[in-house]
Amino acid sequence: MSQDFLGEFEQMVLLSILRLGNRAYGLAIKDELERVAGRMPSSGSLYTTLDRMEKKKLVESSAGEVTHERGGRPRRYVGVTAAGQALLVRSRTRLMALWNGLERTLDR
Amino acid sequence: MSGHRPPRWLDWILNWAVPMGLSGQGTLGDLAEEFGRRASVSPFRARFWYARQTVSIVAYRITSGSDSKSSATNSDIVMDLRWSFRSIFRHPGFSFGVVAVLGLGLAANAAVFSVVDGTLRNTVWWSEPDATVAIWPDNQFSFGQLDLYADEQSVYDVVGGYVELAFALRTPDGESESVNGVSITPTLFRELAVQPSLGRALADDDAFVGVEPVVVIGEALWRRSFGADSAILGSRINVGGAPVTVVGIQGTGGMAPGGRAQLWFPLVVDPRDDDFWKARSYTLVGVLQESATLNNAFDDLMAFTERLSQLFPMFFPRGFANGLASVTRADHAQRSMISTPLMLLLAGTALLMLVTALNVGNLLLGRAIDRRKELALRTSLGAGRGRIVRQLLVEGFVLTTLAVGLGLAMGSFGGQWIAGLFVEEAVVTSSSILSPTVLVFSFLVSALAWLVLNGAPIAHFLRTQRSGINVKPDSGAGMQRFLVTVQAALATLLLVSATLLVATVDNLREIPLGFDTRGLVTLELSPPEDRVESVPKARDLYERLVASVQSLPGVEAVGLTGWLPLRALAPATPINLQAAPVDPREAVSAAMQMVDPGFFETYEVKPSAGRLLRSDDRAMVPSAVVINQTLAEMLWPDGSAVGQMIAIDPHAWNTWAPIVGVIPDIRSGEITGPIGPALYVSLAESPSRDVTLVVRTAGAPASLIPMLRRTVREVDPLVPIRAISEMNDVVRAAYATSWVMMGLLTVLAVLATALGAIGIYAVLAHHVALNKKEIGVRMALGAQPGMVVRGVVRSGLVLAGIGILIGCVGAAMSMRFIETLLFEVSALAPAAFIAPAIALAAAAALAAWLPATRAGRLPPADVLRSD
Repeated sequence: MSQDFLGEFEQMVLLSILRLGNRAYGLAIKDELERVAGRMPSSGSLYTTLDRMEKKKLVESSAGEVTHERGGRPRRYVGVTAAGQALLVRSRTRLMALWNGLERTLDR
Repeated sequence: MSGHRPPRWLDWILNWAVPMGLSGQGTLGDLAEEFGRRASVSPFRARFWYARQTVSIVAYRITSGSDSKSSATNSDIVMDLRWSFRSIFRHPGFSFGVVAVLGLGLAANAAVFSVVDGTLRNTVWWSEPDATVAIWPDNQFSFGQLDLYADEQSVYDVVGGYVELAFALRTPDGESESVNGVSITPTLFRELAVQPSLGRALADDDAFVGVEPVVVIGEALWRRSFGADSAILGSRINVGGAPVTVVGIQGTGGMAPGGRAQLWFPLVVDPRDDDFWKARSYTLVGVLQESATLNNAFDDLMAFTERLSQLFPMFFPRGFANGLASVTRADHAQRSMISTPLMLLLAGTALLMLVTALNVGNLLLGRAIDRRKELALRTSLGAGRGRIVRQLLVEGFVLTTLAVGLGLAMGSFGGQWIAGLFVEEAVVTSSSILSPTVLVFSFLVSALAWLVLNGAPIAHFLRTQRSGINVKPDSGAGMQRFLVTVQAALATLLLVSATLLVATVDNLREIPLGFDTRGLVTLELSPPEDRVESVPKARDLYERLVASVQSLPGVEAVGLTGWLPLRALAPATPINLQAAPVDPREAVSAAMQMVDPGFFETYEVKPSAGRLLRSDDRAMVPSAVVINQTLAEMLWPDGSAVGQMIAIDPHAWNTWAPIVGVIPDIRSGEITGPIGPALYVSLAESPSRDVTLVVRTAGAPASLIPMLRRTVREVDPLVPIRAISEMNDVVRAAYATSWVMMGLLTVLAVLATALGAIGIYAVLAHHVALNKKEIGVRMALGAQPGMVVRGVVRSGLVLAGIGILIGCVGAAMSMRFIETLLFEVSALAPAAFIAPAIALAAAAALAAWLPATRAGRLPPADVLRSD
């Protein structure tokens, strides 16, 4: 398949979702990204990335509760699929392989 | 708090932008939730935040096409479009600049073209524009001549005459209103006018003496003053104090002749009338027979003038029409005055557009140079050349399309604004910016701009493509310099034209008028015939008018004149000298100005010899005469004019009147050209229908105008005011076309110069950025910052200098087109070339100085360390 790599932002989003467990929906992911990684993605980029990864079957979503403050719209809870998790792990392995031996050089 | 709701219209946009289904609903819900959170802190900031999120989502939606709806149409063009949009959003400043600059150029073009199109297309004026001719348009005919010519001519289907007048109309609510009208030969009216929308046109029978007077009224007047009541047909309205029967309603739109006329009367002339041969006030128009040409028409007119000479040798000496008589297409006669300036304006905006497109091309070229590695990489990875060229074209296309939208929006206001600047308001109109021709023109211009602005980056890409991935950073810099040079040349061309016009307007303003225009107000009146039919009646009316205006607070002096200086030319009359009688055909002639004694006081004219006219002069028969300096010097160079006896009526060639005084020259008629010989006689002697009241005010004249209007109405509600204006405006109107052209060309020239400077700035800034390393090395080796700065500025000046030289040569070759608009300025005046050259060089130096100082401040160590 074409999808062999994950972009940096994709990795960050996937990791945030995993960290949030079953509470991962758009706003929560955004807060998590900001809190842990110091990134404040624009709405456009976050939701486009989620849509793209869903199309690639890296995440899957399910409808959550409908509340008044959301203008009667459901939460879209997202979870990482098995394929998504596998890809995350592969990306990490590759990166680690590249990092290997460089710690000393870069630690100055 | 849940009380806050996001702005509805943003929601509407978002609804469109997000994908369908859970993904979109989830997104909208998240946004609403966070909006509520933020709104509880600051509703205003929340709204701002919401708007920013909307823009972000829309931008991503356009550029990524992430939803399933469009994934099947991922054709190359769509990809190119997406790629272009993405790069536009990625460099918002750059994109905004490009779109704004291009849009401005397009707006100027669309606006000027809509005016040219509207003006040239104004064919409502003549129903048969090709066949309708104006016969000797500079001349006015008497009714006798008109009548005779209509009988004798052999080339026209119809010949008729008309005269434009103003009338006091009593509206149903009892108000008196001044309305422009035309008295016209009925056959001519029927030939030229579109069919009345109600009722009938003027008939030949309407023009006989003694029949019931009739009128056709304009639809605009009908709606405005008669409530569009069709019962008005056949009923009587009060015009100029007399009842006339309305027989027709003429459709909207101007109708020739008399662009703004709202009343059309049949031209009724009584052959027993004194004025049958004398009063020369009619303009002749004919509709050519199908087989006749303009040359035939001219020969026919010349034959007629010879016949006049035979019949009335006294008035028409042999050959009097030689070199003067003319026959022109009617629409041409009206438009020729305005078409040259408009065409020049169009040429000016076209030049500006070229500068704009070159400028944007330059910016895009700069970007192509920056992207050379990316592009080279893509070709080496297998992207075809055509593929990348197409991508560049699409990117330019997207930018141009955005600019077209902006340009048309701005252009629609610009067109009306420009048309409003011209005095010839009835002739100059702008067509709608959305009319097919203007749209087609705008798209053609933008297509050309698109090609021009793409040319450079594409040429650069194709050239560097051969050298593979190791493109030298400075390749393409030569082309950039070339583009900047061309821009500077075009800017010079526009600057020279603008400078020449500034000098022209300056010269026109300095023409001595012979009087002080400040504080003068002029009221052009058209008293109805019965008010001025006899000398005592006219005198009575004039006296009452002058007395009541004189009594107004703030009025210093009031005078009357038959012809308003600078607006109308007084007719010439031959002069016989008692001391040395001459044949009228060989006599010197002078413009005959009819004025009252107050005229001199109002114009603050002091006699240079003798005295002025006095109110008791009119008791003398014939009256006393005052002459101007030019006439005095012409006939009595020794200065003995005062006391001489002259005769000025060819009918009474031996009735002598004394010259009582000489005054300095006062300009009348055209503002350019020499002040001719003139003589002044008392207006009350031979009252004219049209008379102008000149009023000198102590304060601001504008504030007095409503009061003057009211006063005239109180004196006689049936005396219509044709126009009321400040003398300053009358003077300005005399050179308005030059004035307007100067203003507009100056705007174009300044814009072109600014763009040229921006171009130089962009090229040098880019040059500095690309050569950071070289500059750093030189400074590390001991070059002083001053030297680096001077070097960069010098290269900017060299670019501008070459452009200026080329521009000056181009200007010298093309300035003959502008010559007709100039006054006392040589199209090759050195100052007109030097001043723009200096201005442009200064702009170039400033534009070069900014990147130069940046280069001079580069810290060598940092530069060398950086990649």
